[in-house]
Amino acid sequence: MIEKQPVAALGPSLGPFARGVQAGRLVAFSGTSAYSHLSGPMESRELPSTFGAQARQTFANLGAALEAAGLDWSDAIKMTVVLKRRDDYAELNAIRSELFTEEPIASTTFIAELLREDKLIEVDLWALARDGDAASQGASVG
Amino acid sequence: MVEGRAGKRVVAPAGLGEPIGPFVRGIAAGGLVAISGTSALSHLSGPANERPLAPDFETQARQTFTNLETALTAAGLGWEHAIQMTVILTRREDYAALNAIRAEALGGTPVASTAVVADLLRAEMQIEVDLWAVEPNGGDIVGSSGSGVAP
Repeated sequence: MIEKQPVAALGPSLGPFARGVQAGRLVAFSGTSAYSHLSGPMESRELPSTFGAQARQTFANLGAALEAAGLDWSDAIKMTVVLKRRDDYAELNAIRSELFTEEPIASTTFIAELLREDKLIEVDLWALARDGDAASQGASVG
Repeated sequence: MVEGRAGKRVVAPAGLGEPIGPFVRGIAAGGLVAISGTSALSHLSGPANERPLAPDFETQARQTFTNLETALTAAGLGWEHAIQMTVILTRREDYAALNAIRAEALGGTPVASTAVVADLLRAEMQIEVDLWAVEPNGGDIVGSSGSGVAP
């Protein structure tokens, strides 16, 4: 059973995709950025100018998405990080270390352009609901 | 593998160097195994910018697939358990060489794949690959038939 995961804390997605989808225990979260918690047309969503602020908001938004699915960072298994600038990798790692140093997560990072010129980071995430959570998760989303 | 929280096990291959950030080489959970982005630097230790890197694509690609195999082996798996890879190339023209090298490395195992052309964390890096695999006995996510997909 595949269930869309509505994330009330985040704004509507920018295209015909869901913020998150759960199938059994497996949960996929879409690419999330520092304006994912905002609403309105992409071009008018406010975006902090610094990498640090964008990265922190991005991880806060992913945290909100995890929470909406009844999960937390300890349930995350893999993230893919897209950076606009290679030079931001060290700061990314400093921020990740601070936010979830206790949680082992697999990760891939590469450098590419994002959907807005001033967007510096986007992250997507796979997570796994804990044993015994599947039934209640499936029933709780609609 | 090291037991982690929430039913996650950390894949920590002895043959690879330490990750260059706050992440692990791989996570196994529920029968699924995620292997982090792996490159021709992954078997080396030390700061990312100081790890020696072969200048040519072919050598980097072969080392990358060797390193992925090391990670799979550490998880008790082989290429036959791989289900999907994402390949990041820095030069579009290396795609043909990639295909020749991975055909050889994978030995005919069917693996779903996506390739993109982008930049990587060091200017000289020309390839990075991440991987999803399933455990032979499966788990509650993939079931016991996970490894039984016919070529």
